[in-house]
Amino acid sequence: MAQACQCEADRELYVPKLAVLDKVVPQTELETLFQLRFEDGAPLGHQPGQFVQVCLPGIGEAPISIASAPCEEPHFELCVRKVGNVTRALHNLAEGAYVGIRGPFGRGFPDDQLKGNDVLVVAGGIGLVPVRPLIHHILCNRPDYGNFTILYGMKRPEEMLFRDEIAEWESSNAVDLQLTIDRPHPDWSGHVGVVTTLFPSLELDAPRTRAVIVGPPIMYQFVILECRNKGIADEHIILSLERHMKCGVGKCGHCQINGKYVCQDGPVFNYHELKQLWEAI
Amino acid sequence: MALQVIGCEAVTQLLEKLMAEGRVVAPHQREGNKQWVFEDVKDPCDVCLDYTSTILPPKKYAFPPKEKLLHYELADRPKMEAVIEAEPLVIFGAHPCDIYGLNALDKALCDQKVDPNWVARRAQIRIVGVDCEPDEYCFCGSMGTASVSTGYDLFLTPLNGDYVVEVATPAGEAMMEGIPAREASAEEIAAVKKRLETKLRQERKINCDVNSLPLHFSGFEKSPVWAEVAEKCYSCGTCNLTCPTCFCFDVLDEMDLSLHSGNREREWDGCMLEEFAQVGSGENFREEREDRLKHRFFRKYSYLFTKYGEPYCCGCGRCVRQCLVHIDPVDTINRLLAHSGKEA
Amino acid sequence: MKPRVAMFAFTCCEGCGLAVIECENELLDVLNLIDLVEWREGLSEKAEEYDIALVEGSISTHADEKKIKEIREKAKVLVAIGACATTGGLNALKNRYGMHEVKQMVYGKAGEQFDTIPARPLRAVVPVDLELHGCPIDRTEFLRVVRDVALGKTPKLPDYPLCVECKKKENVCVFFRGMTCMGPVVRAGCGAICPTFGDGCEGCRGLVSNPNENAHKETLAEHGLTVTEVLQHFDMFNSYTEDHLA
Repeated sequence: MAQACQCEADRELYVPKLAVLDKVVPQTELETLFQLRFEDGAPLGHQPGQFVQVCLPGIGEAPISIASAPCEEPHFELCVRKVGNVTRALHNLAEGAYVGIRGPFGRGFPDDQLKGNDVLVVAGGIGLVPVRPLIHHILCNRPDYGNFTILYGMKRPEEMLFRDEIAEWESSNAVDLQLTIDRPHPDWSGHVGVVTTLFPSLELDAPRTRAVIVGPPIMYQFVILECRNKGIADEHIILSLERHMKCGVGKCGHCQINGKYVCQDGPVFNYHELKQLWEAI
Repeated sequence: MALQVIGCEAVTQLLEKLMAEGRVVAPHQREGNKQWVFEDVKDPCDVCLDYTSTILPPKKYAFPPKEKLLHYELADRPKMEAVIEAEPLVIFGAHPCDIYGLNALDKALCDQKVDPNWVARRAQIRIVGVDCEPDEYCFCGSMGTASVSTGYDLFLTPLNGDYVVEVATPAGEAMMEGIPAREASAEEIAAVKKRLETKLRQERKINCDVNSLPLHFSGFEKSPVWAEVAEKCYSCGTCNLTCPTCFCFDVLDEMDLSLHSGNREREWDGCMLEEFAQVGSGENFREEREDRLKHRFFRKYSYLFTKYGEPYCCGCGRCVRQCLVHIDPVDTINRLLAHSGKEA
Repeated sequence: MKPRVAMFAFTCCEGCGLAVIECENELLDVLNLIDLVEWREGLSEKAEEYDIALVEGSISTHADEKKIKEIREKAKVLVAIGACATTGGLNALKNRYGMHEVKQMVYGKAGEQFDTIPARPLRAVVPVDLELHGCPIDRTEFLRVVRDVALGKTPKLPDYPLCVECKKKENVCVFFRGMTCMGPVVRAGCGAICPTFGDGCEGCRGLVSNPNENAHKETLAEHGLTVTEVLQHFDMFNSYTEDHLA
């Protein structure tokens, strides 16, 4: 042929690997936690912050953040909100069903930059899901990190995910967990106000702090501002972004933010990288 | 390799020989004002090598508008297997800009994760290039794509009713076996060079060096030119779909009515279409026409240019030739340049 | 259990029902997925209960209005099929005239005995869950929707201009053949059937959500249409507006 590409291709690039749905743990009205493992027992081999493409033959594929830490292998977990065809169909599956998985894909949280430092996690709503593997990972390897703070904001108390875990975190000395809901609610006695209202009372050692922010797009600009006001450097403000990855391998173009592909260059970025990308936030 | 010269009849002979070996596609004229398409050659006499541009580039053979990626059969334990449909094919009569487009896609689709369907098809495609006469929409002169040095097996340059043939690969050499040819004279070789020079003299030109485009674009983010141009844009995706260097796609499941088996397919998509950057929750990250138009231009002349070291535009002019509201990259870039000049 | 499906027709030519009958090769597969319980054009049975109602035609009489409200009450899912039901279609052309004038024009003196009100698409009268566009509907799209509903999927119907389908098929642009076309502002999904067979698109699938109407008016004018002709192009299938109801 014409001397075009002589590349070795992975024939299976677009072929999902079968995983078995081992456990279904309801979370809220819209979200459910699914525990899976590959049929062949192989670990997923992911880093906190990466995502997979969940494939249900006949229904389609959807990009989903991994919700468990590598230390929980060979199982891995996905916490999924019912929003589209794939996620709805996933909610209809019973334990024992097969699910196709491609991945893991993307760049996760930069653990080498977090280790030895204080970590501040700011999660809004379902944003707790992508950051949960990191929380688990830090808790598994607690001595490697400095102070560990989690701020978790929800619209309403019934949106709270991973309730048992959160109760554990609350009573643990390993992490300082602060919860808030946007507006007063009869079932809530804790802090009220958007997640940024937790910042004034935060005591941070700014140069040592790495902030990890995950939440709905609207939350980012406000939380970034608070972090900067606290003196956290832009490259130490770490975010995970949502886009609709269709291929997961840097081809289909759907997840592009300016010159970056979220599926390969992200979904985790630091703010220093993002502030030059006007499409990012 | 020495250049050879063949006559018109030899081109027919070459076509017949290739057709005897397998599938050959080439430009054919369609009804309408100057419209050509690549299609299967049934009769060499129908092939039109003297054409300006086809509606779709020959990319469609390596990356079809719709193709299967995966076949599945539903069962308690579903079966899924890769589908890669490739066959030997000769693209006969590809212009340099379109060859450039294929070369550009080699880079993008083989970067990091190699696209298996693309590679399998490309491996079976042989290319016979042919030189062209640019029309008023071509701007290969500005993009540095009026000629290519790789990506073909044979390249034909028309000269006084004959063709000067460059044999570029062993596959090209095999194609020429048994085709009556003579060695090109020094005058003929000079004439080929001269032809390229003439071709480069295009009236419509981008007013900056092609290699400085990414740098210039870094100053275009807030230009009011985007809104002006976007005002007349339909967001119909015609520019995406006819572009030799566009490769965005959507992935969809097509299940049989029996609900027992089906295929996962990919289909050409376009960043100009409104739903392109919409996510599951409904948020659309490029809701405005202006954002999408700007993205397309940045992708061609800045993002992918920076990433792969060459522009993702081959200057073929299809986007403006097919655009009913005449959105022209040359004019748009020149307006962006002029406007940023004013500001500076 | 298979969903029970009933088909109803209001003011229309019932050509969309015919398009369903024409799914000859696939009809048996379709019947494996759904139970057809009522369909004037294809069945003699009637049904009191159904899950999904497929409704063609516009609402243009008081009787239509009463009946569609009943259907809405009974059906879990209401699907409008075809231009008359989704955009008001050709029927809505009468809305710019007084109803008295319309009856006179068509029936003369005998007209007064007919009940007619301005024609409306279904969604102007009752909430509609899904709209299948076209005059008539596209068979392939219909089958895809049946399949998706059977799979529990929300069907994804195109909301981009017809040009997308013409380009994928490599049709010579209708404008380049010296004719005019509504494709750049009209919803795709029909496989660009008219341009593929040599005609311009007349817009039976309705305009996309955000059409660039100004650009298209300029394009049509550039290709020799007068202002009146331009408006007629827009109006043929898409003249329905609430302003005409007053």
